[in-house]
Amino acid sequence: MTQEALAGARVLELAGVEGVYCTRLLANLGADVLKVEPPGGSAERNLGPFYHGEPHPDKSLHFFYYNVDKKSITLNLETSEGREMFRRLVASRDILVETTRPGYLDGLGIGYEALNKINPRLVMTSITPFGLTGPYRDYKSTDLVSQAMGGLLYVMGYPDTPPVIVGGGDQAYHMASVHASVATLIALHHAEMTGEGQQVDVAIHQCIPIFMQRIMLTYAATGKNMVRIGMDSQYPIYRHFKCRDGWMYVTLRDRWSEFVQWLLEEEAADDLADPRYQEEAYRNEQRRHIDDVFQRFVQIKSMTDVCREAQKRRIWALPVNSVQNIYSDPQLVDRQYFIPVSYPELGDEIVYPGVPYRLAESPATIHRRAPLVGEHNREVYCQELGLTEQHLEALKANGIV
Amino acid sequence: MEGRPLEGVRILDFTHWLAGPAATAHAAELGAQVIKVESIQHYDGARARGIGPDHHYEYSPTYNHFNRNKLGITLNLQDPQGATIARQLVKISDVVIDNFPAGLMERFGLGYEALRALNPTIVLISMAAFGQVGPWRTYHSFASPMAQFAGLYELTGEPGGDTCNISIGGLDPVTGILGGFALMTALQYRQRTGKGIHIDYAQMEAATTLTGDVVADYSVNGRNQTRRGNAHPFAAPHGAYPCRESDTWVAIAVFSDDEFQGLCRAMGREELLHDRRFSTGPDRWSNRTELDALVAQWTAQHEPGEATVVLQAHGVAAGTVHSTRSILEDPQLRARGVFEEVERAYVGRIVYPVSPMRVLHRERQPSKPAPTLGEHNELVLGEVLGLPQRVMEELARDQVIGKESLATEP
Repeated sequence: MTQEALAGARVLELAGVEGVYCTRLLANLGADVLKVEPPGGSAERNLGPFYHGEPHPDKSLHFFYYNVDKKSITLNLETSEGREMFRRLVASRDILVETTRPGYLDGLGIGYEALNKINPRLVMTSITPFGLTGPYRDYKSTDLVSQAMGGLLYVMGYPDTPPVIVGGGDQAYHMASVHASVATLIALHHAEMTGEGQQVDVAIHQCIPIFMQRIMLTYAATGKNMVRIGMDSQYPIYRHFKCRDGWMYVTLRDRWSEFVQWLLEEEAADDLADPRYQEEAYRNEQRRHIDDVFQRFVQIKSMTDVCREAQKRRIWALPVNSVQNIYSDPQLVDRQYFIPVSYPELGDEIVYPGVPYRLAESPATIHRRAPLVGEHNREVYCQELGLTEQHLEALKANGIV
Repeated sequence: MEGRPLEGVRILDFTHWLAGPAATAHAAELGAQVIKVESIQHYDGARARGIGPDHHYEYSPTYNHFNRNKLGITLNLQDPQGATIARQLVKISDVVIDNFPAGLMERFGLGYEALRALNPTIVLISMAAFGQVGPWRTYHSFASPMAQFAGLYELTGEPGGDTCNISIGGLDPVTGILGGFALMTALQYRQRTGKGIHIDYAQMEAATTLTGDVVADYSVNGRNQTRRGNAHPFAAPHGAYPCRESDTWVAIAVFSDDEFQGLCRAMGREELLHDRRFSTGPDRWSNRTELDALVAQWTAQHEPGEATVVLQAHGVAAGTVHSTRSILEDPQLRARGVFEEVERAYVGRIVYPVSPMRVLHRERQPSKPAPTLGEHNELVLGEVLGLPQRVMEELARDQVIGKESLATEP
């Protein structure tokens, strides 16, 4: 009998867009994640893109993506009975991941100190824009503002255009969620060893400088303040090149001699065999010329040929993907990475990027579509907490569930 | 509680470059004993970015950042004596982790089956760029090719314009830290089942999870999204607005009506509250070009920090677009002790950003510097493994261990 890696870990999620990727990671590897939404459903459900472009709380593709494999209940924490239910749920969970504004849960009497009394082993991971301490603790933020404050936005874009956000999703939130997921499991490990829970304070603002470590540390070492460089790079062969049938991204790094050898073999080296190019500083200075020589070399070749020849020489080359061709990528297809998830209510199946882990002897896949609003109310309130049907109806009537 | 959360966990770390060392950085900072294995024949490639003259491989900012708090040893795995010592270390470790292309660990006699024979509950995390199966399993990669592979380049930049090189804020730390998540997941599994496990973690796959809802939009609606600058379908204004000094900016994001009202008041433009071009979210979105111009008019009179304070006081999400230089002065990051000075051989005192997780109510322990090449050979091989002095000398003579690199490149 195989077991999922995190099977048995019970997680309560009180998270918005900032933290849902963290709990998705936990859920995909088998943790039992129960999402707590306010009555009517979380604000995430109003975020597009929507299924067939129809805005509806149970049709947000954004919500679908981040909430697969989770269960969901609705609960109004601003009522005393709602908070009582919440305390009862916390008592039997290992982990609480939350993204409410600093001090909000304390104000309701369900902050870390209070929850620790109910469940001393609880790991409470708080993901907030600027952290639970410091002068900006009460500032509002968004993904854009976090990318800006963390130093990422400033270096993205062209010298003559405004700084531009790194797209494709809320990348500052992803960054924070990734850190939070590791921190949560480290704290869980500790709780299991010692019986002692703790609160983990993850500041989204603070996760970005790590993303930027190379330029931060170069600044620290040399005083060079990186500016926006568009498609340029500090190094030669560290960018897009156009092949006969599409664009490749090629990274040369430290393989200069292999690179020149390759070009020499095909009589396309121009002057690059000149000994002056042995000096890295000279190469960096001449990077545009080197890029031009290579561009002329690859423009008549196919992407497959360039990729194979480069990889043979440990020069790192990959095709440039749009979202469209990620799906047909031979490596991902071979690894059966994309997982169709069935949505019976829509009479449809949606294909998602899967779980980036393969575990020998333990499955890692997406099992279940994202939950509908309040889908697991009966299961959790009646079966787990032992409420009667009448009691649940009364909670509904009073706007608590 | 005195100890750090991962005290007692020993990780044998064969990773190099950036993503791999990032995967074990948190564990090292939070108390695990991480033994980093390099060799005098092949040092960690990240060291090649060093900028010093003598012992150039001791100056790399990236290496010195991601390997703080780790122990460093050298071991030539291509020499039978080196491979034997590696196997002895496997016996006393909890985790083995590598980011080689598929097949290399097997060549060193360190594949999962071999490891399991030595230590039945060992955990192996293989974090090759493309994973352990598939036609590209032996390919090499680096963060920026993978970022573009996942569509991040395609999705970053001005609409209709070129993409930009996002590698300067490389993606490695993200896919790397997800390797750390795999590591902690494997330890959980072992704790719950008493069994070891091998995790095949493909960084290319992890990269694609960062564009998930765009991918779903394509898969369901057939829409191939592309660059849209700073525009956000649910917010306006939303972007970086120029401030008084050249190339200084403030980021502003307005989603709700309340936030818009706050913005108008902050700018002293209450008349805009009644302007029908901007009454609702969709109105503001349709007229965002005019709105952007109005906001830019106001921001141009201010410093970014000043604008931030005023906007935040009116409930508007706003913040300085920090450059690397100005971020080091950020009061919030300073108050939270984000930048830590560490004294290290060759480079002296340098400021490093620390782990963004805080474990509350406990003193953070100062970081130890990244090891110099082979710095902990005596500690790990001599004291921990118990190799006699005579054997250590022989190993050094045979160039199985050492402290001076023989290689000019990794």
